Amino acid sequence: MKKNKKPVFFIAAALIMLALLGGYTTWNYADPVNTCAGCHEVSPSHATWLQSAHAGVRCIDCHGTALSSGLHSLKEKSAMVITHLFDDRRNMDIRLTEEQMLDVVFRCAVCHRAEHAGWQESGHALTYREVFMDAEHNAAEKPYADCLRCHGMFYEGDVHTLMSLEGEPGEWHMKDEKQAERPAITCLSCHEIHSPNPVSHRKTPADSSSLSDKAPYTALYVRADRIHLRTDLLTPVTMMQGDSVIPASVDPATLLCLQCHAPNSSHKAGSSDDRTPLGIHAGKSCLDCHSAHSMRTPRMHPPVHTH
Amino acid sequence: MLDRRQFIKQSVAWSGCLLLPSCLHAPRKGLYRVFTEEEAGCLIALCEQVIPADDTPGATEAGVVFYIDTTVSHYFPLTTGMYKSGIASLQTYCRSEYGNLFETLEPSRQTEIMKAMEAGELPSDAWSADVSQQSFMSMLVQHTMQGFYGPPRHGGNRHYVSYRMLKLDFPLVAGQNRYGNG
Repeated sequence: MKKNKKPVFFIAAALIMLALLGGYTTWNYADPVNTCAGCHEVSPSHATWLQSAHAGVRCIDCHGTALSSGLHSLKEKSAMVITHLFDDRRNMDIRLTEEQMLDVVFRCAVCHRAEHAGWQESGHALTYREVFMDAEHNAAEKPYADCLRCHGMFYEGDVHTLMSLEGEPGEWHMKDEKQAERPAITCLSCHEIHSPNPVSHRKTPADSSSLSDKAPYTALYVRADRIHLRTDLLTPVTMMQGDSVIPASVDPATLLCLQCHAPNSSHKAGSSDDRTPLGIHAGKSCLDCHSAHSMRTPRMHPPVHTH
Repeated sequence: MLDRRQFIKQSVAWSGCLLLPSCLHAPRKGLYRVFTEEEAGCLIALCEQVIPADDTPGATEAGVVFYIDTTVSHYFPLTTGMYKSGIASLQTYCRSEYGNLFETLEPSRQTEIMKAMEAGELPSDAWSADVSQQSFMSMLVQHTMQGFYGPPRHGGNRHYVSYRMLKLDFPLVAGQNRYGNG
């Protein structure tokens, strides 16, 4: 009599699936020391995460799991491991691609809803298209590499891979429609998630406009070096009005704003994109008037920025 | 030929092995790619002697050891052995002469030892490294300077400590040309 082998194979397949599921679950919920941080390229990030305000948030809550974006992550990581093991090349430093960074940023909103909503209604929620296809601006000045220092800090190319600059300004166009719709200034432009910044040492909104020994919430993403720099380490800028030095806030938040809302090379107040307040408002921090994320100005009235 | 019971048992056993990589994985100790914690401790002390902290941060705070670790690991793997054997010889000498590791000695003593090393004057029976004392020192000084003064993207100069010490205008605050009318 011929034995029916089908049930055996079904059981075996079920067991293998169960084991894979178990392994996958274990991997996702185990201590990162035994999983993600076991890879030496990840261990420095893990070390800073341990000291950060997000130390209680699991890796997968921000980064997702291996299957969050279908098989893409598995394919990417497998390729890195294979390269590492067999190709005698090393992954110098694991960094998020812009797409992965945006995935993380959208997960920020799960907890930071109010901040995310504020950002969405602010002028900082611009897409690449809105920045680089601004007809009025393009008619006056051609986009160049340094634009990406503030508008598209995480973009993995240059202005020529982003858009075609052939012909007249009216003929310029974005090369990748998907890229064109991505936000150009995101949470990570001004915040470092793995920043060594325990909650107990963070500033409260009450002391946000004054210097203290507490670490700031903010960090500037320096595109040139692909790292964040804490804003309390930014160099204060001497601002000028005519030949006179004018009082300027040394609040880290203001120094951060000043990096992109920057004056010309003479640091003349009101030049270029500078918004340094003058008159009776001189020396005020941006956050004295503006909401940190929405940029709303509940207490502002003209002529704060009149020059 | 396996019977059904044996087959199920073996399937469970072998399937369980899929979990082993995460269960048996030995956690890495420390943050370094090529150096052990002990070697890194010695290297940190050596670098700090080259660029000591005063009223501004020194090589330790700048994370120079991470620059060297990364650079040696990624770009100059052949120098790994030179570092390791140099550090081992130095520690052998310090243990035999002072009964302690280099990093635990007084800073003034460390300076003396490094001066002797630079002049190639450590006893040859203590220095059994593949690299000469002078070459080791030269390599160390060169890498320390690179790690301290170079861009942070390579692992050193943490928080731009050297740029701030030199009062470099960085990140440069410079707005767009604003259509030429500044």
